[in-house]
Amino acid sequence: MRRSAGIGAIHKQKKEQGKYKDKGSELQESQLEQMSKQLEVFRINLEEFAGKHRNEIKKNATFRRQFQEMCASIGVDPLASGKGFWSVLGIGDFYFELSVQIVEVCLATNYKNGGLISLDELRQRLIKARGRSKQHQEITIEDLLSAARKLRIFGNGFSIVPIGKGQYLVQSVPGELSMDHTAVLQQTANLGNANISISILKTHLNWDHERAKKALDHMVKEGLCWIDEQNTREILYWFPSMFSECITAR
Amino acid sequence: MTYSNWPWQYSFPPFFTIQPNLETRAKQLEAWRSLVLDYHRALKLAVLDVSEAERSELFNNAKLQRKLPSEGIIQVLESLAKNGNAEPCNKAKTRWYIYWHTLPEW
Repeated sequence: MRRSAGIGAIHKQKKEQGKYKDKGSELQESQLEQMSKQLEVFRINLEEFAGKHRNEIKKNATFRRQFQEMCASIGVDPLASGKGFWSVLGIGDFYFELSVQIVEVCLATNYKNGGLISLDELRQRLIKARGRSKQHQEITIEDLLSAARKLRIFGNGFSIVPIGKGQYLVQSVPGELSMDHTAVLQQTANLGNANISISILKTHLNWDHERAKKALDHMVKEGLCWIDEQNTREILYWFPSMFSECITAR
Repeated sequence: MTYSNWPWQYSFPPFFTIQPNLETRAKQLEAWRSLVLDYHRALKLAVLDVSEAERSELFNNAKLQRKLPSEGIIQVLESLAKNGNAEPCNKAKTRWYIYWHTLPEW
């Protein structure tokens, strides 16, 4: 019969466990030390890189995209924080500045388009607002998309609505856009008009009358579109955000 | 004399339908107010006759085949009056004075 452990044995066991723990934390510490050393090396490398290519990042849109893609593939978000050492590159500043400008343009055009603006118009207006110097001009649609996506952190004020053919609308008021409303916008953009009607929705999307009317009425209620009762056949619903004269008006 | 300084809304068809959404309607009336004032100032007109106005290019965009119905014109005039920029000259409210500047400003 096996004797149960005596007091001496228990003490011995405890001592051993303690030793293992010490060794474990020692190992962890050395690993941590190594990690922070590596991080330091990484930072130095990056600073060197940044020193060389800072202007490149600000000026060159393709370079910016490539850099972003590289970051995405290793799971780092260079825009996540202004304190991250990626911002050494000034890439953060570039996008944060852009985000602020996007908000300004959206607010400034809100009164006429109801808070819905096409990304192309947004880009045109930004370029105009940023002045003539060459280095300010190079903003791509991708830059705007990444900047606008970051704005979502502030809550549901900004959202991006894809409307097909690589076109996007930026919505800057916290209205609710359901699948149906997005479909209406997409259909309108696809036809290349600024207007849509119940019968068009019925034929193209196979919706019944009620569904089409409900979706359109909601968008009128949100101030996204205007009704036109003087068309010969039926009521037309017009989106100022897609109406070219409205887009080019100051 | 012709007027050429049309705002973008003038070529936007639903501008000629009074909007059901109150916020949108407020924007619409605001745009109409400034258009009416601009138009009268540019052409040096001071009186607007509602029945004539229905046919004038101001409220009738022939190219677009849209015109502001007389109820709409009256709404625009009343909102102008509220700001001190218009006043009916007779009881029936068929003729209105249009003040480019409000009377205190004059």
